[in-house]
Amino acid sequence: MPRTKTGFSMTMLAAAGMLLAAGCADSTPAHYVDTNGPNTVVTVHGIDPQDWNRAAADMVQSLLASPAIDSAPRHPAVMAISRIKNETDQEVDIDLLVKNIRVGLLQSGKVVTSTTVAIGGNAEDPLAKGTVEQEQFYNGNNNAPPDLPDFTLSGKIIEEDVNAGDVRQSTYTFMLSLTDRSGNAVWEDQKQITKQGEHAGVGW
Amino acid sequence: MRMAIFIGTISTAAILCGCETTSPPINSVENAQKSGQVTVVPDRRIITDSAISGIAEVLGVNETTVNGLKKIQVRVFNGSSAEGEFFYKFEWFDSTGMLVDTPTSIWRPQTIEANEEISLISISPNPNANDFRLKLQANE
Repeated sequence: MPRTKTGFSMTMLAAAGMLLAAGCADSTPAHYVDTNGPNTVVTVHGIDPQDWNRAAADMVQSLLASPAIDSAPRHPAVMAISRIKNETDQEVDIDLLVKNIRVGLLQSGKVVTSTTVAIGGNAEDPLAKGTVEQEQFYNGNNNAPPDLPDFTLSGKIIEEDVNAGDVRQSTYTFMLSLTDRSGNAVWEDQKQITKQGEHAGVGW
Repeated sequence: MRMAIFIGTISTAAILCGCETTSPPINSVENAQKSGQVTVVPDRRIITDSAISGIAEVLGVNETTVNGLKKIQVRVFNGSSAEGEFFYKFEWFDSTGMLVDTPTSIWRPQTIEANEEISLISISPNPNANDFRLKLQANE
């Protein structure tokens, strides 16, 4: 059966379409990648592991550059984690942000984080809290004032989504404040991560 | 046949272009008489990819100290006529030369416009970490 000009063109069009659709995609078998490396999956609508890590790293660097921590009455200063609101439309664990900040600050030797002081008395480590209370009781210090933290860390995460045709854009704003015992914020910062695209991809 | 060539040309162009966007180069102005005291750090460079040197040429390194911690600034210039994308990562080493494993040492994406100069900054993770290494990688 002779091929018509239209039929040939359609074949070429289909081939071109397949080439375009294939793009950079390939059938990659499962393998390990560096969580903080440039070969991780990037989603447009979602906070990826590297986003959490980047926001936390920026916050640690900002805190270390600030004179706030060195102004504490003792060294290392004691910090407690207050409320960090998730105002995105995703269910996320704020510890993905907070833990790296705690680790970075602890490594600096300038800050330790209380695991016994928390919002509503819900200690992160109830056993440690009980140990502290027992020690105070047996030492006859059960009426002693509690060891209050020098700083509390609070904040929120906000998400803003916009579209332009098929292109989607999400901006995640990480806001944190460090408040001293007088109730004043002695350090504040915010970091924004904006991602744009039509779909998720591998690599940044 | 012309139709096929046309479609082929268009599709090839589309593949080559991908979704790249370009933006015009950067003009800038700054004070000619600098008042800041810059402590220049002699550096040692290992270049294995000339592509990254084109879009992220290291102009120089300077340092200062904040709160007992070393702060490093690496000035990077994109001498090409196109926007560049690259990744960078600061690593810090303690007084015994051991790498400090810290959550602040991560790869970061960076966009740099044509003819733009930017600064990459890092603060040492603790007072014992005084040596650093900056890694740069092109975005392929």
